Amino acid sequence: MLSTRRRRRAAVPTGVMVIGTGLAAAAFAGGVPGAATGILLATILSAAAIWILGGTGGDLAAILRSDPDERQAQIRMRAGAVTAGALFIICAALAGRTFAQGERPQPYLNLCIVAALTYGASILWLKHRR
Amino acid sequence: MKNLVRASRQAVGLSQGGLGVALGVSRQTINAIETGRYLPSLPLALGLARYFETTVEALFDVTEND
Repeated sequence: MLSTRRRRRAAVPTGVMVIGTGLAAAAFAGGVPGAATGILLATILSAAAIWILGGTGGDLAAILRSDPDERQAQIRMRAGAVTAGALFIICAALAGRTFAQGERPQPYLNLCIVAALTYGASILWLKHRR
Repeated sequence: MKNLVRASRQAVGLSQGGLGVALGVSRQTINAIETGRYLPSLPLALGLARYFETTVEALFDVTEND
């Protein structure tokens, strides 16, 4: 049976492997085996790198092995918020560009709508919890 | 916000890592608190105060600008 520490260290690499393997399987099913192999290779290397980094000391290791203290958890949460903000801006910009080109702005507009709705719903949910 | 965490820790001859282990946080977090880069949560501030057998008010100097 895995210890709690080992389970936490394995959480992020496992997530990377699940998502990467799924993408690789989709690429393979879509008839692009070259891309599937590349995605799978990158996934395995990323998961291994995260696993190794998770065994070291410091803030990044604690965040990567899902074992952060309160300050590290705050850093992780803010990094997630910055990432989400950046993705929203990129999607909005791409939606604007495709609009300007006279095309339907999909999937960018849908992604912007989903992000805005998720943001609103999470505020409504979290304000009752905290 | 100024605080006496470093002075209190050094007074008992403890390393940042040692204090971190005692309070369940990382050495980096203790360093961030000591240098004023991070304001600890109320439970952690209380934990620090209890560890050094003092009060939160004595350990942390709250000014109006904070």
